[in-house]
Amino acid sequence: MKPPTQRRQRPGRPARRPRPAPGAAKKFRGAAAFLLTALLTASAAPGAAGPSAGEASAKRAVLRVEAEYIAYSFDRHAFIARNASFDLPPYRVSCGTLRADLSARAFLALGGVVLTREGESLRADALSFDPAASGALLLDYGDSLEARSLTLGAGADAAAAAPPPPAKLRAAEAVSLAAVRGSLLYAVCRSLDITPAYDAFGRDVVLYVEGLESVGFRSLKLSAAEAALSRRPGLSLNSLWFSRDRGIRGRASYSVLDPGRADSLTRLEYEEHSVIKDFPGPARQADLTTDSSWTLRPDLGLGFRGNANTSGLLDARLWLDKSWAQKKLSTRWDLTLSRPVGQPVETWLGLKAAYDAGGAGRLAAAGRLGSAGQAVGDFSYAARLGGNLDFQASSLYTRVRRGADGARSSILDGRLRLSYTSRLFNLASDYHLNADLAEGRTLRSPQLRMESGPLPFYGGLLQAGLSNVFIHNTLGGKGSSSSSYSNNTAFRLSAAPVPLARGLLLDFSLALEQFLEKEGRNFTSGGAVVNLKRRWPAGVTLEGFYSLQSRRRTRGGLLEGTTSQDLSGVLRLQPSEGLNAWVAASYDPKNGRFKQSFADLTLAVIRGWRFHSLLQYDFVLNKLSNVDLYLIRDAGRFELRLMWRSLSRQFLVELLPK
Amino acid sequence: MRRRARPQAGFLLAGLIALAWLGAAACVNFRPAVQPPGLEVESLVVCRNAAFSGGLHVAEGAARTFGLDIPSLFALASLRDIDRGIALRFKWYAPDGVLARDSGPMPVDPGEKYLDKVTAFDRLDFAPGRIEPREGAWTVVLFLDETPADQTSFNIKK
Repeated sequence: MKPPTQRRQRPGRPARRPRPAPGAAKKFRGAAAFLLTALLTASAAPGAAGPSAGEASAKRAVLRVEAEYIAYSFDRHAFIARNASFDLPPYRVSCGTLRADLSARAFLALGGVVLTREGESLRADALSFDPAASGALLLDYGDSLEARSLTLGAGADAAAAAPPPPAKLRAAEAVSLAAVRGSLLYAVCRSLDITPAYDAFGRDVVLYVEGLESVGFRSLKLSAAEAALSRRPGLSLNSLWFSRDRGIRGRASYSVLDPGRADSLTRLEYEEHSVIKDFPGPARQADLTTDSSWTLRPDLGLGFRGNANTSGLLDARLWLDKSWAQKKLSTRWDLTLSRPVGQPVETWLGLKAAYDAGGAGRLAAAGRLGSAGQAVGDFSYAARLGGNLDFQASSLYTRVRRGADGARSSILDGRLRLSYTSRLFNLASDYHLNADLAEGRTLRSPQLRMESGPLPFYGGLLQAGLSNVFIHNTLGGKGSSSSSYSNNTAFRLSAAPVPLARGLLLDFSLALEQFLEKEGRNFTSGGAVVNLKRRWPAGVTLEGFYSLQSRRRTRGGLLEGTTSQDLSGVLRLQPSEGLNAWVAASYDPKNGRFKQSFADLTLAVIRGWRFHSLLQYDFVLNKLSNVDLYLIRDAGRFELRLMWRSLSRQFLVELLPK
Repeated sequence: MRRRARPQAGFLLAGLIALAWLGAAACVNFRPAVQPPGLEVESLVVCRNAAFSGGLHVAEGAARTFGLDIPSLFALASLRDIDRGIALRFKWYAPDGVLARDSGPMPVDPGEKYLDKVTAFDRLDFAPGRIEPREGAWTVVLFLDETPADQTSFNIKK
């Protein structure tokens, strides 16, 4: 067995920790500083950088961490601190390492943890906590793993203070120095404040871009990029951008988040087109949307949603929710004001009620009255009768304005459905009625649906399934009546993969479908798919597909239709985790020619960067129809993509949240 | 007739960008970056195997969940900037908190040399009647000179 430790030594290095070469650092500082200030200017909320931001953060911090070294990852919204100390009232805590996942609100102090307060000192190997919670967990790693609960806060109730759940401990454990230093963007400092919103403010911060030391800040909101990626409370400038086709574009939002009480998000989007030569539309455009909800009591809620823009669109909705008997009975009153572009204003007042009677079913009814004599009402009931039988009934009546002359539609729509579900088969019977009361027309449509479950044969080697749908339509109106019917039967047979030789698998499936109708437009369709797969140990796989599809129409003894065939092959290569490639080509056996071909390559490059290319070759046009080239950086919570697409001749830079 | 772009809008845009850059630049300083205080544990992972590559061990099949049929598991630690003699120790705890394995002290002595990276592993062999692969959350703790320096958890499921 190999020795359990392995070392790597740089030849000729003295026994001391290396310092970065000053020349190399200066070389990249300029470029990195340019990138960083641009990024921060675009994504940071007002006041993100600067002394005032730092002073303000210190006043409202839930945790201030002082340490010999703190490394914060923008990618993961997490940090790790060495030889740290912090206040966790009523204690002053010191530890060897503090690691925190701010998105999960999980903190773990590890190694020589000492908690002190007047006349008392506690020692532990680890401390799991959330600075905003009153419960914490002390851990000792001796001859057994021992956990002790700890109550934090001056007036906290010891009985009610629940320790952090194990998931939080796992989240904090996952923060490693390698992960932080491997980030696209990370910062180092000696002092860090965590705000009640779990934003991080650092002082005397130096940023690193892809591991290269760059610009430093006196004080910086380290989670500034968070505003661009997710919703944050308060006012945020989400983006400010210029494009040659839309001009200056800005997006700002104001958010209120008070869990259990209020949740509000208001967004303003603005576009200035006047800076573009010959822009065809209006000189500027603004769009305001708001979506708010308030919980007044556990059984009473209020909501408002609105949208207005400079094109004249206006849409507003106010609603009130009330529930009784542990939410078994619930109602919603709502008032809607709507003015679509170029249309008159409409006002609607509605009431919706739902009652959950448990085993007796669920009943719902709603009615809305609109301006100009409009009305909508609906009713539904659903119940499970026994273990396998379901019953559903619903009806909808609408009387709404139709056209500009003030005419109103009057339509009644009703459905009944009884279905039986079992392991072997499903059976459903439907009745649908649609009556246009204004025009005096009705459509009645009873339906019968049957579907068998997958039936296994030969010990599961083969599976068969059969389904049938029968529909009868009767159209009546003004003394006349006509009827039609149709029936569609489908049969499917598929085989489990059959090993023909070592590493060689075959599977196939067959399908047959017969469509019949009263008018005699009958179709017979059939198809087969065969799949052959060969695997080699070195991560190489070759797959071949053959499919045959035929559709025939019978009419008065005549038979007409089409048949298509497709043959395709895929060669996959994955010799290591860093390399993944495949090549595919399709062939038309009927016409004896290749159709098209694809090639895909993914290659891990360095530090979370990977190169990805996708090529498409068209044999009909005899040319390379598209080439997509990507350079992708996996950066924790988001992905940075540099992409070039030959089809549109575009170079794109994308920052995508994951 | 073609409409011309308004020049004042362009000036306004240029002014806004200049102000934003000046505002950001005012907060910049050029102090040297804080350096980490010596020896560091870079990572601790649990994996199916610790392979040897490029003079160091690398994790193969690293995960946080393993099946009940797993015969053995490796805990692989990676350390940086070793400029003094240290003792490493791995402790494995079962879901009920019982110490399943203690590696004992594992000395790492660089002598007069500086080691920029060291990897070390410990193996937990499951054996019926001795160490059962029980379902639940297991914990591995890495000690550096008898002080916990890193820890990680993994699950064993059916």
